Amino acid sequence: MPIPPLPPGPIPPLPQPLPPPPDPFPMPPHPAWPEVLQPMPFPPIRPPMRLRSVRCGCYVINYTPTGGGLVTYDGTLRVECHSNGRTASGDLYQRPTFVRPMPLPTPPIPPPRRPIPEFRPQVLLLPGPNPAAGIPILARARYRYYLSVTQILEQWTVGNAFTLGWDLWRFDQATRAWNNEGGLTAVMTWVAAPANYPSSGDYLTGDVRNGAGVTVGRLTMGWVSSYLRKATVEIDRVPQSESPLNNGGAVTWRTVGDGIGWDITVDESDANVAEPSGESWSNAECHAAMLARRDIANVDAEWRYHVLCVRRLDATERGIMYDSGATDSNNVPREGCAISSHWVIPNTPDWGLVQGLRFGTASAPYFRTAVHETGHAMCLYHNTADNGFLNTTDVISASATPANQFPNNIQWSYAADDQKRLRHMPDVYVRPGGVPFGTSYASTPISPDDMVSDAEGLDLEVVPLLDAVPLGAPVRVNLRLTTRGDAACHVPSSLGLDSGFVRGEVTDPSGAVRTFSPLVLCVDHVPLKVLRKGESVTASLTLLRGGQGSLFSAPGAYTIAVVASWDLGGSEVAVTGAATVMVTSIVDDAHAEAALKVLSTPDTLLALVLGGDHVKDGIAAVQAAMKSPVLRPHFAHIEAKRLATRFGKRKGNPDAAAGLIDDATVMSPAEVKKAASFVSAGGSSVAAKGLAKRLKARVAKTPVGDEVKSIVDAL
Amino acid sequence: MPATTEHPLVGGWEKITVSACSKIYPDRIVFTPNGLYAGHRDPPGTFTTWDVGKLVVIDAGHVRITTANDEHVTYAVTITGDVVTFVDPDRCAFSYRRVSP
Repeated sequence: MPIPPLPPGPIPPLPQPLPPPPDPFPMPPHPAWPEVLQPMPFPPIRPPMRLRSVRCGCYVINYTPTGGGLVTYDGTLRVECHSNGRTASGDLYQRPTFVRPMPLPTPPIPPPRRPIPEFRPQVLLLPGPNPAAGIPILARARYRYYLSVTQILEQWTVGNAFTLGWDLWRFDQATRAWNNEGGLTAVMTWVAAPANYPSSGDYLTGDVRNGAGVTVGRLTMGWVSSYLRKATVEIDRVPQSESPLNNGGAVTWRTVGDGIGWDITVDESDANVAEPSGESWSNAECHAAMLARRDIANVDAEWRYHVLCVRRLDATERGIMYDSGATDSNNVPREGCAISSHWVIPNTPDWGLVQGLRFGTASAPYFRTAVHETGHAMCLYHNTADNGFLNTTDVISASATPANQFPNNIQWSYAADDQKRLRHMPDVYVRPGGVPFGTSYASTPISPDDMVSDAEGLDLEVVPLLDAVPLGAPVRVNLRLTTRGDAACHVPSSLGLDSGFVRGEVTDPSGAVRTFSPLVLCVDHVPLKVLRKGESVTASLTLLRGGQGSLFSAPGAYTIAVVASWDLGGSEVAVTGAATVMVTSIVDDAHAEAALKVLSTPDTLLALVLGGDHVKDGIAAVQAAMKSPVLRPHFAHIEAKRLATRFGKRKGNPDAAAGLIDDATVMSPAEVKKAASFVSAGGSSVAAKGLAKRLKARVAKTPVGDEVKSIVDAL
Repeated sequence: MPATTEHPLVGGWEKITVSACSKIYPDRIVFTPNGLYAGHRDPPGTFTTWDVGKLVVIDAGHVRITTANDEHVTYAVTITGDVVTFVDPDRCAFSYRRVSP
């Protein structure tokens, strides 16, 4: 991103200022008012800046090609929000038509006095999906296109429109092949939604243009659900088998669905399925039972996955997705699976805490197997990236350790790549009755991960203030954005979390990922600046909680990935950096009590970020931490900042704040700078002088950056 | 019984058969001493019926392998030198050559 040099010669004159805009609401003088009572002229009111972003969830979309006659496509666009912005994908189904028949011939009648108008069959479009009904389920036979979204508004805009770009993949029903018909774009503008949409503010329209810039159609999208997809899991069982409804704890079908943006409804149905030939079932018997006992058979009206629970299975030990190949007698693949409740878990150490149990009584692995097999019914294959749902039970049990025995080592989520597949693979890939089991990921389109290009020539250094912190403490990291080469770059002038340019994710020791993003945005104050060779932009982040709860909730090694992204000439660029930090274990009862309070109090983050006295639960958690000698150094500055700041009728007390900060207090450079302000506000008090002395000693031996050092040295 | 360290199948193998019926089997497969295996086809993301699972030795001439949909399937197997040949229930025969560790 080099900055072009100025052209030679004098700087051209500035343009004339624009004339003032016309008053949109001119007020005529009131005839009854004397001149002296004429309304006072108010300064022009600046309209409030409104930040818009693409709402996460499922949109009902319609694409109508130009000049296509009665050809129009309905479908869904799925917008997933994550730490890197948005990932989106969509599917289009051709709307069916019907033919209004010619009138039947009538018996001979006397010749008419006037000519009979000619009756021609009339072709009419059926109505599209009803947005008020939520996520639509459309017929598989009408499936036409997958939209691999390549461009979308990643964060927010102060405007009223953004460019949506996608590759249009045509699906050939006969060969099940995909053909990329090329890239399309549409400038999507927010407009008021029609009456039957659930959210009037989340409806957009735009003309669709091809690569040559020619308008080829029109696209509308209206938000209908915070979920991306919806499905039903029907559970039928023989009387002796248990229903796999949860893992014995908090994990249920609904929470499993929530993890991937699927609205999953459980239909705990028949409990009296008869055994056709004894306790063990063949694949064909499972399939026949599904056809006979399921409550709804039309996969064009509902995505229904059938789970049959039987005592034993002929073909396997724990579970099987039988509905493929020769077993699939109705040629509707992946409608059902079966699990076995009476397999006895081997009495070997691999099986840890459940060895010797009948499978149906081991809730965790039994439920996991049901989720695993429905994963196959969603056309997923085994995945050993982690101990998630699509890994095999054998691999997970084999990876257990004495310290983390099976089934405690089960990861109750899908692996990251499977999550993406379930959110963004084409409908026909994941829905029951779609492509057959065995269709390759490699031959199926899917939207790219993100649409942000790397900011070339820039490095983002992420360095934890401390390599290890005790459980319950916030983790402070310092950021430093520098140029790598000689070229100057446009970069954000601030990288604080409140700038809106920075977000990230934390990976815990088990591989689970939690995101963090700004709690408060200060968008008015963070323009771009030119960063030249040798210059840097620095910032400090204090991390404690994110969108999915506590970021550091157990001892172990954590990876912190930070993304800084910004808009540059209409394109979003990003630079990333990462660091590792160790969270150490509980050392005593006071630490345990304080850490529990901090980790279980969501408002601790508000106390950290906002700091006002009104965040009572958060303040209580911080004060609990202050009572723990282990955590006190990590929270002293947070409490000091609150005390130093006026709130309501309470005056700021910089002396009290200064008194809280000692040599052990953990402070980022930004916090050292803030502490220096306590000294300035405290004047010549003993506490202020003491703090000034301690801060000077600190900056003399700890690098805090030139700006902070000069501020402290000047105290 | 699961395959053990001593079982001659343990180790890495590369498919040497090119045939339509054997296409669903992996191009490369590794059998581990704890009785598990992992198979791969090119390019990455291509489906294989032996993706991840368990290998159980039934007798000298047969093994049972769990497949991509968790079914246990019995295969005839013969090992000659550094080549192993499997025959599946549909009578499709395909061979792998041992690769150096």
